[in-house]
Amino acid sequence: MKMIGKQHSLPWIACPGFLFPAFAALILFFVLPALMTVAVSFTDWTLGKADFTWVGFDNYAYILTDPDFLKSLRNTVVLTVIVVPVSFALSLGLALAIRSLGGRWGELWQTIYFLPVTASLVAMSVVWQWVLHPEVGIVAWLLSFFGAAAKINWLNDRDIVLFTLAFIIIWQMTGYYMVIFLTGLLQIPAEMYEAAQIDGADCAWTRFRHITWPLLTPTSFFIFILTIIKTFQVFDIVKALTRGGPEKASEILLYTMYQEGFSFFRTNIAASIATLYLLVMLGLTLWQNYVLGRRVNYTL
Amino acid sequence: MLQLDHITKTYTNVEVLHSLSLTVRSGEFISLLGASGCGKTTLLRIIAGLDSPTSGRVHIGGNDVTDWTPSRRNIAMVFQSYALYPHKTVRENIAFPLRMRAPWTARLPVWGRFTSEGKKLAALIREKVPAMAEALNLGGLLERKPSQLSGGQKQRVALARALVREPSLFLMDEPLSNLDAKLRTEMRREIIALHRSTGKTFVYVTHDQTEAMTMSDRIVLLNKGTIQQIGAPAELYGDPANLFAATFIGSPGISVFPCSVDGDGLCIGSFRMRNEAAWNLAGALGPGQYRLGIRPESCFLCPSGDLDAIPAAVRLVEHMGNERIAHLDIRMADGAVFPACVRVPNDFCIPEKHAWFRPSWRHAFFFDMAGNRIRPAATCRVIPLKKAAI
Repeated sequence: MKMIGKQHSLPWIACPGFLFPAFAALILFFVLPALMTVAVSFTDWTLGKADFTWVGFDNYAYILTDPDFLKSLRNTVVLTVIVVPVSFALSLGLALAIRSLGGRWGELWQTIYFLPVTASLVAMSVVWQWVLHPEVGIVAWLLSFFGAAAKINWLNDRDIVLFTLAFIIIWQMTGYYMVIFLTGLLQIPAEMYEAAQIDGADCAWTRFRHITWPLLTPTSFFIFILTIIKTFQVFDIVKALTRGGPEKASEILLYTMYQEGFSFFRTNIAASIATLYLLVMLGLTLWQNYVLGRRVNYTL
Repeated sequence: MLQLDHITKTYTNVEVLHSLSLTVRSGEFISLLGASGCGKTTLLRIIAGLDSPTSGRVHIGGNDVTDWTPSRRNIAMVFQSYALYPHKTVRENIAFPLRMRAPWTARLPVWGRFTSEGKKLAALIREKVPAMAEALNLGGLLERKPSQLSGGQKQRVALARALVREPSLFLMDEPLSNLDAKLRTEMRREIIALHRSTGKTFVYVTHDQTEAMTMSDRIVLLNKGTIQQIGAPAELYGDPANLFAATFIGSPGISVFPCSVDGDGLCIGSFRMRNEAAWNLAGALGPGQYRLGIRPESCFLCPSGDLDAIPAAVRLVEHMGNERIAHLDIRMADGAVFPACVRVPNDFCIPEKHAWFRPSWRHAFFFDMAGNRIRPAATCRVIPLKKAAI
C-alpha cells in the first residue's frame, strides 16, 4: 500500500526507539529474573555459593515430599476455597444492592466498601492485631459483652487462624471486586430489563437469572480468576500478623517461598517453589484469556 | 381499547407531558409523531408501564391499569434497539414471553420439564415459535444468536417476540430507525400487513412523518408535551389544526408568509393581491395580521405577472423524476426574504432566474399570529348542521 501524505512516514528509528525503554525494563526486571529462577530451580545453588551443579528435578522431588511445603500448599488451597466463593458472592451481592440503590446513597456505600482496598494492609494489620487481641481486643470485648465466656485467640489458634486470615482478606478485597462487578452491571443495557419486564419477568430473581447473570458472565469469570490469583498472592498480612504461625498453621505458599529464600537462604528450594507458583499463575491467566477471548460478544 | 386520561409527567421540575388525553379504538393503528424531545417515547413508556405518570390514568380494555406492572398489562413492545437477549438463540428469544407467562413449576431448571405444566409449555413453544418464525421469514435462523443476525433480521425477531403471545396492545418505539432506507420501506409494508392480519391495536412512535403517514389509521401529532392534532393522515395534511401541524407535515414543507388584511384587501408581505378570490378572503378574514401557509402543490409558477402573482427569484430546482421542485426566494419591500416551494410538472417550463409565484387561494391555510388555524367563512367546507337543517 502506498503511504498517503508525508506525515505518515516516521524515521526508521522511531518504532524501536519508542519500544526500547519498555522492552528493556521488561526483559531486565521480569523475563531475565524469571528465566534465572527457573534455571536455579534445577541446580543446588544457594545464595553466596561460588559454584553449582545441575541436579535435575531433585529440588521438586524434595519440596513435593516435604511435609512443611505440602502443609503450606494445603493452607493456600484451603484459604482459596474459603475466600473465592465468599468474596465472589459478597461482591456480587453488594454490587447488585448498590446498583439498585443508585444515586448518592449508592455512591456513599460504594466508597465505604472500597475504603479497605485503599488502605495499606501492613498498617491495617496493626489495627487488626488490636481488634482481634484475645484480652483487650474489641472482638473479645464484644463477645464477653454478649456473655461468651471462652477467650478465642483469633490469630494464635491453629484451627482458627486460617479463617481469621480469610476474613481479613475478604474484608480487604471485596470492595475491589464489587467495583468491577458494578462496571459489568453498568454495561447491561436498561432496555434488556424493560424488555424482560414486558415479556413477563416480574420478579427480581427471574430478571437476575435470565438477564443479569448470563450477561454478567464475562465479568464473573474474570472476577473468579482474579480472586484465585489474588488469594495465591497473599503475603503481607501473613508476614505482618502471624509469620506463618502458630506451628505453620497459617503458612502459605508465598510465605514459605520467602522463608526458604530469605530466612534459610535455600535459594534453589525457593526457586522451585517460585517456578511452580509461576506455572499455576500462568495457567490461570492463559485459561482466562482463552475463555474471555472466544466468548460471544454480548454487547449489541 | 386504550384510553389516556389527563396524563402529566414531570421529571425533576420539568413537565414533559401536559395533561394528555387520548382514546385509541380497538384494532386501530395509531402513530405518535413528533420531533425528538416532544414526549412521544415518554408517553409510550407510560402506556407500557415502564414509567408511571405524575398524574392521570391509563385505561386498557376497560381496566384502570395505571398501577399495574408491565407484564400484567399484557402488552407487547418493540424497542428501537430491538433489545434482543444476546445470550439466547432466536428460538429462545421468541419463546421467552411464553416461558415467562407459564406457571412457575414449568420454569424450574430441570424438574420443570417433567411437570405437566412444563410439558404443556414445551408443546406450546414447539407449536408457536416455528410458526411465528415462518410467518416472519426467520425459518432457518432459529438456532442463531442475535449477534449473527442482520439489522432487518433482528427487527423481525423483535416483532416475532412481540407477536408470539396474544397481547392486547402492540407498542413500537421507532422500530425502523436503525434500518437502512430500502429495508425500512420493506419493513413498513410488513408491519402494515401484520397489523391487517392480526387485527390488534398498534401504538407506533416515530419522528418520521413518512412512516406515520403511510402506516397509520390516525396520527397523534405531539409538540413539547402537548397534542397538536389528532387525525387521519389525510386530515393532518389537508386540514392542519395549527401552524405547527402545517409545517411539521409535508415534504417539501409548506411555505409560510406574513399576511395582512386591511380595508383595501389582502397583502402577502408587501405585495397587494388584486384578484377576486383574495378580495373575498380578505372580507371573510377581517382586518388584522395573519400567517399564510401554501403547500408546494397549491401554487403555480407563472412566466409573467398577474393580479395575484408575486415576483420571486429561482434559487434551486430539484429534479425528482416524476416532477421538479422549485425553491424560490421572495423578497418583501422591507428586505426580508421568505423561501417558497413549488411542485412543477415535468412538461412545464421553469424560468431560469425570475418567476412569478401565484397561490391557489382555495387551498391556502390561514393562521393567526399565535399559530392557530383561522377558517375564513368563505372557504369553510363544513356547514354547521343546524344551519343546514334550516
